[in-house]
This record gives sequence, structure tokens and C-alpha cells, in this order.
Amino acid sequence: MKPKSVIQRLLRYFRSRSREEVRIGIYGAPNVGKTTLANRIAEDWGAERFGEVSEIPHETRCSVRRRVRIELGSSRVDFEIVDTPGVATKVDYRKFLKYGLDVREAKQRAKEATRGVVEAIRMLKNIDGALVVIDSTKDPLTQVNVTLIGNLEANEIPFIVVANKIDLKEADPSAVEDAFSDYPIVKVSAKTGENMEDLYKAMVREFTS
Amino acid sequence: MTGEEIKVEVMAKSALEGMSRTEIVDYVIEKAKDGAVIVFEGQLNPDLLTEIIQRTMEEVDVEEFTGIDIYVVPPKAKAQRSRRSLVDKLLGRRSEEGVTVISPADVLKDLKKGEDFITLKLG
Ligand SMILES: Nc1nc2c(ncn2[C@@H]2O[C@H](COP(=O)(O)OP(=O)(O)OP(=O)(O)O)[C@@H](O)[C@H]2O)c(=O)[nH]1
Ligand SMILES: [Mg+2]
Repeated sequence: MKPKSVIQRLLRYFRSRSREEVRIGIYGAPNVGKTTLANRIAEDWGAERFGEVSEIPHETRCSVRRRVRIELGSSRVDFEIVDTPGVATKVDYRKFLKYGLDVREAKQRAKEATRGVVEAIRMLKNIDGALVVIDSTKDPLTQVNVTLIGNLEANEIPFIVVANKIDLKEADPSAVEDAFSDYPIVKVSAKTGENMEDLYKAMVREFTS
Repeated sequence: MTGEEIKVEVMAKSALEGMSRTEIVDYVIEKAKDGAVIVFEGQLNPDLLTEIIQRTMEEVDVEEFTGIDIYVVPPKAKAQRSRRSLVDKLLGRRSEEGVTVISPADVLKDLKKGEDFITLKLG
């Protein structure tokens, strides 16, 4: 192990020890359903809603944190869940115009979206674990997914791949499974709540030691 | 970007080896803002890619520079063995192999990606 990684692990350990909750970032590309998932978790465990959901990408432009206590059988874990802005390599305000935003609103949204991505990436250094949300109706091997997962792995941060939107008939969760077969994965619909129990079990299993 | 002329820079592995992390990030951003497509021999590690995405977002100015596209071609022999090693390749665990293309956003149209090649159509 590289000395740098030992130091990073120690730092993370002490930081997480000084917190009572296990901090989990919800990461992924824009529009994959991160906030829908966060709201679902909040609803299931009696926490406050995280925020608005929209078909327009970059709806979340500032991260939102909520304390969520998950109790399964004899285990009880206090999480701090962070819903983060979607990570993208490009933001073009013109793409927002077709959703009915005017030019001024679209430019403002684009500006905030870029800041959101930076914030989400910075937060990567400050989490104890992550849920990497992937839209099962799309090609899973995008550069954003591969980079996020590579980064978490390189920094030894535990994570769960969440193949979302399995309620849609064009969803192909097995493609996500094939692409990321090395990692813990759950297939859910944040919208309908299908398989959320699997996610909670995985969270308790993967994020507590 | 007006799109009449697109520069393509092809960089050998040795060119990157002489550069620090920051120099690579600066270089990529500078070229992308300049409208150039860079083709690297090899792959960039995930930390470096993350830094490139972060810097790109800091530089996006809404009007002129909207960001970048990144494409990776994993080396064929390993890619064929299993999907698992394909991901290994994409994650850049063998950074000496494969090819990475970074372009200004939406410059490469009709991009065709195969197991071991990318067809880049400029303009
Ligand atoms: N059918 C279906 N639609 C979903 C599901 N999850 C989210 N969506 C839809 O996908 C769109 C995006 O959802 P969000 O939760 O806003 O996505 P996000 O990842 O938070 O997006 P950003 O905040 O922009 O990064 C919305 O139209 C949601 O209704 C799901 O499980 N099934
Ligand atoms: Mg959101």
C-alpha cells in the first residue's frame, strides 16, 4: 500500500470516528434518479425529504444532507445521507431550452450545475461510503460511471452500485451487473420502491464494520 | 467554436511521463478550450480523470467552453477475455495500454466505438 493511501485511510477513519453517523454520498450522472432514491430512503425511515425531482438534468445543484436511522433486525445504523449534484463532463445551457426554460434561466442553471459538479467531486474526499446510481435504461460504461467507481476504489471508499429505474420496460439491469460484476450491486426502482429492502440490507452490510 | 478547423494532437506515452499531474490537467484543459482533440497513448488513472472533470467544470463559461468528452479504447486482447477485465481496463489499472481521447464537448460527431477502435468524425 502506498504511504499516501495509508494516511488518507487514517484521516478518513478519524474523521468518521468524530462523527456519529456514517456519511454516505449518493453519486451518479445527472438524471439517473439520485434525489428520487434519497427521497424514497427518507420516506421509508421517517426523515425529511431531500429535494425536488425533475426530468430536466442538473435539478440538484447543491448537495443536501439528512440524518437517517436504518433499523434492520438487530442492527441499527445512523447514516448521514448526502444527495449530490449529478456529475458531468460538460454542461451546455442550450440543452435546457427544450424543456421550456428561457435563455436567462438556462444559463443560470448551467452556471449552478458546473459549481454543483465541483462540489460533488470535492465531497468525494469526505464520505465514508457511496451509492453509485446508474440508470438501467442506458449504457452503464460511461466515462462518468467508470471514473467515479475508479476513484472510490482507488481511495478505498466502500460503495454499492445501484441499478435504478428497473420498472421501465427498456431497463437492462443485467448490463449494469455485467459491467460492474466485481462490486456489490442492487437493482431497484426508486420510483416504485421495488427492491429497496435489498438496498437497506446492503447498506448495513457494506457500510458498517 | 466555429468548427471549421479542428486540431488533433496525438501524444505518445513518453510525452505524458515527463509531465506532473497539474501539468497534465492544465494541458488537457488548455487544449480543449482551444478546440483541439487530444489522443493519448495509454489511460489516465481515475484520480487524474476526476481532477480533469473538476477543472473542466471550473472552466466552463456557458458561452464559449461547455466542457469535454472523454473516450477510452481498452486494449483488445484483455477486453475480449471477460467483461470484468474490460472494466479493469476502463478503470485504467494498466495505464500503459489502450488509448484515451479527450475532445471539446460535442465536437466529435457520429462517433463509432468498437472493441479496439474509435472512428472519429470531425466537424
Ligand atoms: N421510471 C422511473 N423513473 C425514475 C426513477 N427514478 C427517477 N426517475 C425519474 O428520473 C428523472 C430524474 O430523477 P431525479 O431523482 O431528479 O434524478 P437525479 O439523479 O437526482 O438528477 P440530478 O439532480 O439532475 O442529478 C425524474 O423524471 C424521475 O421521476 C425510477 O426508478 N423509475
Ligand atoms: Mg437530484
